[in-house]
Amino acid sequence: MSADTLNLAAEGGGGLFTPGGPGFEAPSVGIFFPSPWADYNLPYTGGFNKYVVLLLVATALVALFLWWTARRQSVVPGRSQGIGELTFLFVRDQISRPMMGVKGDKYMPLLLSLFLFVFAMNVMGLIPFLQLPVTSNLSYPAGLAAIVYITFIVVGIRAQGGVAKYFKGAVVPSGAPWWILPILVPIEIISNFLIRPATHAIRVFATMFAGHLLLATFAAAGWYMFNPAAGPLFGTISVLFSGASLLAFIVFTAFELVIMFLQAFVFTLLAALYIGQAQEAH
Amino acid sequence: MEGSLNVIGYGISVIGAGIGVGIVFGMGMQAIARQPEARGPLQTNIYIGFALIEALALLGFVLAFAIQ
Amino acid sequence: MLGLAAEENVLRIHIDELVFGLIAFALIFGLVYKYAVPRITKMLDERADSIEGGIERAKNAEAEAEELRQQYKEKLEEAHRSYAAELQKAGEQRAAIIAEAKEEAQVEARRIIEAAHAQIEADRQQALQQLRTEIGALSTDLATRIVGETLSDSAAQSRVIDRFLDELEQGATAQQQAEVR
Repeated sequence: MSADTLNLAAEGGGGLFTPGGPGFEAPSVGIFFPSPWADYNLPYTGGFNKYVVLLLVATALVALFLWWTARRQSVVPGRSQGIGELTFLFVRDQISRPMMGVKGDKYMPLLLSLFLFVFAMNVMGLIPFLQLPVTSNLSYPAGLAAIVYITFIVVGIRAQGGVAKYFKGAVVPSGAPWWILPILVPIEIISNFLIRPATHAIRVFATMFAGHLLLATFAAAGWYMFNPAAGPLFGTISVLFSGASLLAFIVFTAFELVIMFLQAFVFTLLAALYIGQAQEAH
Repeated sequence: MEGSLNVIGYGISVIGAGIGVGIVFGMGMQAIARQPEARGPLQTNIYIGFALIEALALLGFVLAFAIQ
Repeated sequence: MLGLAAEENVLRIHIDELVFGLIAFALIFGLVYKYAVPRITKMLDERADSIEGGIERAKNAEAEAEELRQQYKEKLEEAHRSYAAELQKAGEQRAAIIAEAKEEAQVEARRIIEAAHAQIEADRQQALQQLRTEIGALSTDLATRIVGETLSDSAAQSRVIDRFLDELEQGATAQQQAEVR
């Protein structure tokens, strides 16, 4: 839930059991369109809004994390170095190695930065008073997906030794009979070069979007139902309802943290998978 | 009631993808349990299948919002 | 819709935000690529090296210890062997010394016995000689006392003495021969 939602809920606050009071208004997608503080008045721009600020915070967090964990290096690791190595080894052993093998180690910087960046942007949805995952704006995951898209095409062209060779290998499935190719080739083109980057970006976006909407709904509902002024009986009931909503909010916040981590993991994993597939000979 | 029929369409499209993703991961776990030494290639294929199937659900999501 | 800026589609891609995102990612990527990953991989490699080096050193030390143990074992066996040899030699020497001493003692004993025999013989001869003279005088004396003045003429006297001495001598020779035997 963003500050906007809180304000909105507060304006109509305490609606439950109030005769003639405002009905419950669930938070809409409007919470993902914060008003910009400075607008460029250009087409297809969002202006300087909350997302940009959160992006800066996320970037600063990742940079701080990197500096803090890689600052001192010794053979016997200290606490901060241990955390850095844990992250590095997690990305290498759980993402890079299973997908690409040892030859994928040269893409570790890309994968590590993708993982950290996506995770930091996701986690922005849990930081108090900020509480808006940067990835719930499609612009940011789309940029990262575009980077991965370009990377795996370039890697594929290099690995296969030629543009035509790579696209032929990627589009024409080997071992298919010739008469099925007219159907198969368009499907492969669409799935490999159109749907793949689109879903890569939208997956993170959609999960963060939905999760944040869910949390906002619980927060708004909890605020809406908090109405102790509605008499002794109804007041108690409304407070109990509100408490249940708050509990659900907390539980789902913890659940969201897991989802955020998982989505960052899946995003990086798919990036590694695509690069690994392009690297292999078809 | 307000809202868009698109959202119902998204809900329906997710049913299939949900079943599909469940089958992919369930079968994947079974396969890994039967042959733990084949974990690497199995994992790769699990995630390829997962990505393909979830693409369908995401298509439904995109269309629900894109066509209004 | 709550009338914020919700006229747009949810699936919007804003160019400015896209560019900001790319710049931020470029910053992080640069930091990871130039700073974090080289340092971490270097340290991981170093650690792996040092661990492998430690294992190598341990192996070397083990081999060395094994060699040393072998050497000690050989030395110990050699010592045992030489000890046994010394022991045998000492036993032989002991036997030789004992045999020599025994022989010497026998020789000595024989020499002493012979000397004693010779002494005894000499004593006996001397005693015999002395006895003969004494017995002659004694028997003359005795015979003079017994016979008195009747045997005073010298011819009869010497005849009687000689006959007596011959008899005596014969008896003494027989006695001596029995003793030697």
